[in-house]
Amino acid sequence: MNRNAGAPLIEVAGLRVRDDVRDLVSAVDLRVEPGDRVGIIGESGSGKSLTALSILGLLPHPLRASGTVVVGGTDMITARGRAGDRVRGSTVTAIFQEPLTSLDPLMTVGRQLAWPIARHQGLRGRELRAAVLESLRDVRLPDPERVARAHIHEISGGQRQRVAIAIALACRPRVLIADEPTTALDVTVQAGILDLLDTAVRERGMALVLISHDLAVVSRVTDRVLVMRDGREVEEGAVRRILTAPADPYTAQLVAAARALEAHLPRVREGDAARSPGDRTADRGPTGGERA
Amino acid sequence: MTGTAPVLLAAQGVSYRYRGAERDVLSNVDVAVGPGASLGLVGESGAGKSTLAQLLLGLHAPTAGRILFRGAPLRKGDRAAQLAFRRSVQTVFQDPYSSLDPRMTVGRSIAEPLVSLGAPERSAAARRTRVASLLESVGLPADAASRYPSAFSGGQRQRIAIARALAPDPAVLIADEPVSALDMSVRIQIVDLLRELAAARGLSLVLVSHDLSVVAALCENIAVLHDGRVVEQGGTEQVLQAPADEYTRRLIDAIPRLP
Amino acid sequence: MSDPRILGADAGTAVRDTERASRRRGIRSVNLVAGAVLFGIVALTAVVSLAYTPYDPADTTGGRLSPPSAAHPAGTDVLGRDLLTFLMIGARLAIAVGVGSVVISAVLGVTVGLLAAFASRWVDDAISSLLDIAIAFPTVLLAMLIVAWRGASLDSAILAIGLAGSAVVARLTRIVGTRVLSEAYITASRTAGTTPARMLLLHVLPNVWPTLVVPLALQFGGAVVAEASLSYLGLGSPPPNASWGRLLQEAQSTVLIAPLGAVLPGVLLVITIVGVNLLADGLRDVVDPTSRSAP
Repeated sequence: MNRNAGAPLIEVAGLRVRDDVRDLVSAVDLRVEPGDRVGIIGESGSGKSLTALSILGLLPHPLRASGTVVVGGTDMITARGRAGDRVRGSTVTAIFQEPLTSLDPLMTVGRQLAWPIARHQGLRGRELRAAVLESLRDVRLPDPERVARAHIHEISGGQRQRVAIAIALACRPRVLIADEPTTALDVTVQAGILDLLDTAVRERGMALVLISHDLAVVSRVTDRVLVMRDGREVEEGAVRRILTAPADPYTAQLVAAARALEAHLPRVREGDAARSPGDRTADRGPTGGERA
Repeated sequence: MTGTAPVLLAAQGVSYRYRGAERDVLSNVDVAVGPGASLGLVGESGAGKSTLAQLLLGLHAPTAGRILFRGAPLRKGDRAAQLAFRRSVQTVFQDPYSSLDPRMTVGRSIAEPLVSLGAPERSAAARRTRVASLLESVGLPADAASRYPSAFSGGQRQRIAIARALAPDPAVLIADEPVSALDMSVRIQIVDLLRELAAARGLSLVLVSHDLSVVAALCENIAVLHDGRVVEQGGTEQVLQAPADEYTRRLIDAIPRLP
Repeated sequence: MSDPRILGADAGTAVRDTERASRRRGIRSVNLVAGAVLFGIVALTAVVSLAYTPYDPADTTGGRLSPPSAAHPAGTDVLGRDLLTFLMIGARLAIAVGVGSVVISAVLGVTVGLLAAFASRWVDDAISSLLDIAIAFPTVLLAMLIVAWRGASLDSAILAIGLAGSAVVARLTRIVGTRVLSEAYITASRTAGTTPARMLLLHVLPNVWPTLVVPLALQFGGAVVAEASLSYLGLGSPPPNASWGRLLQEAQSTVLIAPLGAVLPGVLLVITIVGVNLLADGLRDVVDPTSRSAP
């Protein structure tokens, strides 16, 4: 695959998603270069998930996309079958909000992970097994042998999401889309997952698109943010700027609401800010063991 | 739990285990709320806070310990006492989409406690007036009463649920994750609404939430639950500024914050 | 079908709104209209037969197995009776059987189903096991038992078919009832002080019956076929029973000489069943619970 050094990984221009009745997303532009960390913020009905699905070429049947959606040089709107499959996995992968429904409940974790590893890294047999365990360790899952043998309902929510990340990373994609990855998780687990995403993406030189309704979550892991409402882009810019000087009234309202709720919490203590992400390991319970 | 303050609703040494379960989902929990006071029950999933709310509502009987209302334990058989309890202790649920019967108009849903609990409003007209005034107090127009829940957004449905809870003029409002299912911009509105209503009516508020910022915004006191036990409780500001328990500290630190 | 939990709330809402939009455009109205027309023809015939039939059913002056003529538009049967008269009375019987057995199935099935839904775990398990047995029990065998007890008659047929259908209705009611009982508005009703009896009328029944409308409508069609089968086997009302099933049975031996005697009852059966099924499909949208519930 001949890569043009200047070409963006994801190029979305004038994206429009329609069903039989109305536009669900209109006039959305987004550009993701290698190494970018972009956030999409919106409430329910904003069209942020539909935008992600359009990029992946996975819009459910009655919905149709138009405009430009080019990922890794391939037009995802017109790509049929094989062409789309080649892009998904090697160029772009995704993790979703609820791993209970986005992972296979019948296969063990190890088998689910082995499949993309075998496909993208061409390994088999003992090497494959070793790679599976290594990839579970990479997402900081303690006791990878046990996890590899388990089914997804036998491990905790946070562990499931780590498995989903491991599967996504196994394909060695150039950009990862994370759609509300921590929304369904407990808050003590959220921090660990966000740190993992942050580190994994940086270490591999990947780009990240993080979608969430939570401003604090997005501002922690991304540099640039797109605010969506009712299917439209409302504002775009650097995270800091959006939070301190939002240009659009809707954005201002979102920021104000988030700050108003946070106002009652104690201010972040100096000691915490100094603690590095690497210190927080997977799902540590009060006794140091895993929590179910 | 302050020593000599009057207590309206309390759990004393309460434990609960689901039938056939291996362990208690709540162990030896002591919490209390006084008249006009507010208590936040925080914890993560599986901590037992929703179960505790259900016990405080008298929906299940604890497997150990007791629930006290105005000093007297809740008893199953006495229908009159039960009705008096239900008039005084009401609730708002987490899911605005399933807490209203989709086949009943909003007005009838709000009026249900008036009818079932024997409110002073005897005639249909008197009830309609009361429903209109309740809708107004939660910021909705009176004509909402003739429409169905599907016509309303999540935030509006929560307002309707709050109106229903206020119908019998309760002394205690137990809110189980009232804003968790709502959009961010709507959350703060509902939090403000709850604060105003509690202040205006002298309500005691028991708020169950995994979101510390919501509890911090609404509750003077806080009880932190972990694995079915209360690991720390006290004044909200005090506990959040200087948590004594390790778990509480981790909970506070883990909250994602705006830069 | 996309799971909104995977896609996120807004994507799921978008897809559901699309489905609703399609229905609004009346794609299903064809079913409703066609079903109403077909079933309407049969129902009208039944109603008319109460006041008028071309001949008295006992009149055997038509000449044996005569072909269609001005005097006898459908011809006559082997005893010289007017076939059109019998077809019309047969319509009346078909409707009576359909309505009667569906009413029995509905009343008995809903009662048992709700009992199981409200009951404690082991009572529910016991009822479920009994229902499984009842569903497995062949309708024909049940009919034979009832006939042996009460004698062969239209009422016996209706009773047998109604009983047989009630087990399926009960199982469905139990499932839907259990789901309704787990909704938050039921708990809200409890905390509002509503007694279980009132809760049943106020919340449970209104939320259960829409799901039952279509299966019950389909049972109507099944009942008509079942009665035809029973009459064919001689378990329905005794002659001169005008049931289409019995007409089919009688026409068996003479089908090559006078084919109309077999074809017409068969065609009418088909029209009735297809009409009822199309109506049921159309009704599904009118009382579809999802059109009024949560997004």
